[in-house]
Amino acid sequence: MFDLLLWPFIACVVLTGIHAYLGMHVIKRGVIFVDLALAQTAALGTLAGFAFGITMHSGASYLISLGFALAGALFFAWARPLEKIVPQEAVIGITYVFAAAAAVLILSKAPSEAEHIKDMLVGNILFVKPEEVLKTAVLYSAIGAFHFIFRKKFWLVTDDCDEACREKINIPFWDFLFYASFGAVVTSSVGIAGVLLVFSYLIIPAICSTMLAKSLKNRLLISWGLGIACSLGGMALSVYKDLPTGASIVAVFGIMFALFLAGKSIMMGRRTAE
Amino acid sequence: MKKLFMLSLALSLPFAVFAGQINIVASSTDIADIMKAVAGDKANVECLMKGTQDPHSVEPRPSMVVKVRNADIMAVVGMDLDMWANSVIEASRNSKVSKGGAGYLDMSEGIDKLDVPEGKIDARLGDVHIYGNPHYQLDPKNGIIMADEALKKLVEFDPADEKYFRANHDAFVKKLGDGIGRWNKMMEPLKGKKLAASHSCLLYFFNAFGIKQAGYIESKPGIPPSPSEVIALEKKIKDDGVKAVLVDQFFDMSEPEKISADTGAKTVVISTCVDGLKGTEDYIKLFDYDVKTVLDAVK
Repeated sequence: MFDLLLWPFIACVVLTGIHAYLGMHVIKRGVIFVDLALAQTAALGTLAGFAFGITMHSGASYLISLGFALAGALFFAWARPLEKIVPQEAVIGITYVFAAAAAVLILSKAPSEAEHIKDMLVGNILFVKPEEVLKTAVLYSAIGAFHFIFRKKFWLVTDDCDEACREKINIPFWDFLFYASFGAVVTSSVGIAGVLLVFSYLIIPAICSTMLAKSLKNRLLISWGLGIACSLGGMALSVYKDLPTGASIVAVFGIMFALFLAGKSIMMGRRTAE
Repeated sequence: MKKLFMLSLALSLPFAVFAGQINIVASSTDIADIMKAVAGDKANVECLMKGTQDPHSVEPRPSMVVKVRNADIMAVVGMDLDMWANSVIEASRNSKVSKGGAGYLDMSEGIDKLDVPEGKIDARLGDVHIYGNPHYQLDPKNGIIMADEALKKLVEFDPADEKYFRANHDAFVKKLGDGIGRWNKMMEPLKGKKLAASHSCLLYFFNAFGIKQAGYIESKPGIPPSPSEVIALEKKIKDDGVKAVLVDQFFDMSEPEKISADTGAKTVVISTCVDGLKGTEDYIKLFDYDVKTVLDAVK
């Protein structure tokens, strides 16, 4: 039983590593659903390629889906200067529904069963293959290193546009780099873990850590700890109650978030009472 | 990793030997029922799916992988219907029952397949349903072919019990054959008549009883029909005097009910598999139920 869950667990650790970090950017930027939008855009790319005769799960198919995700990244970066009039969250939501609807339209003209094609795009954490996990780990390490090297610029652009402007940083360029690297991460993580799980790894540890710590470093350490703890808890739930693994992990994440929120509100209540 | 795997294999092996039972895992309820009928008490048959689950989209659980890991025979629907089962087999790392292994049984092997794409296969089809329509269990004659496949595999696995398996097989085929005679007689009035259906998962049922197909609500399963498709189907139902729209148990009822209200054709929910609806507890009861339900509606 345990060897069965070894690679899924390693996959969870790999996912936790990069998503908890990018999650902090995403929360600070207030673009909570950006991963869904980019994942859907990437899926649209795969389907569009499929419609033109490119076999799924081939290198060419991956490049097309990455190309679509990059186009989405470009679109978000381009729309950001208009943030005050058109909130980024709106741009992201609109991108998501458009990409999802376009996927339905393509599938309606596809020559074979739509249900299958949809399933083929979404991975299941229980079935991750070792080579998939290793490939993903290499990709995430590269993107993580990239973010580490340029962390000052990335955070300045995320935190404070005015300050970034004063320092003469090319904001659209760095915004694009942020969304592009993010898109590359999400495209592969949805492929191995599915949409729900990826969203959980991205947002929940990061948001819980902000309730506990102030500095970026501490938050990151806490996020990683929480991510791994919830992965283990979810897998245990999945094994002992015989439930689908991905959904179990998401449920444990959700319960942990509710507990954190309750704890925080009790503590804040005490502070105001004092 | 490998050590752990060998250890678990070593631990599970004595059980299989001492219990003297063949561990069979089936992906669908129909296959499980037929395997049970032929293997009798020589085997322990487990089914990965419930009849109330859509075979296209099954959410895999860890216990499924454990069951397959201990399996001697793994029987699948094949034709890409239960692709998730292949993922389960792969995750179980039980090479005996993986594709090409001695314990792997693809029930579609001997089936006379319908809707197989003709000629050169378009690259656009990718690896999706190039084998044709995989819902063959809804033709009771295919139940006989499935029982033959089950017998062949069981004898291969346990030649000493050939006589026992053959007796079970023959009893099942006789019972099913009687059923086919009975159902054909009952369905005689519908022969050559036109009925509509939710989608192509009912194709083999139509074919089995010589019913003509007036059209599907969803020409692509999972994709809602366009307005013009609905109008065309409703026109066809009215023009041809189609009496009923057959709907599989997984289908959302809102569209069939609207078509029924517009045209006066009745909607009839039938089960596509064993245990899909109440009263379909085994393969023979499945057809008893479906045939009776359809006949009651069009009477």
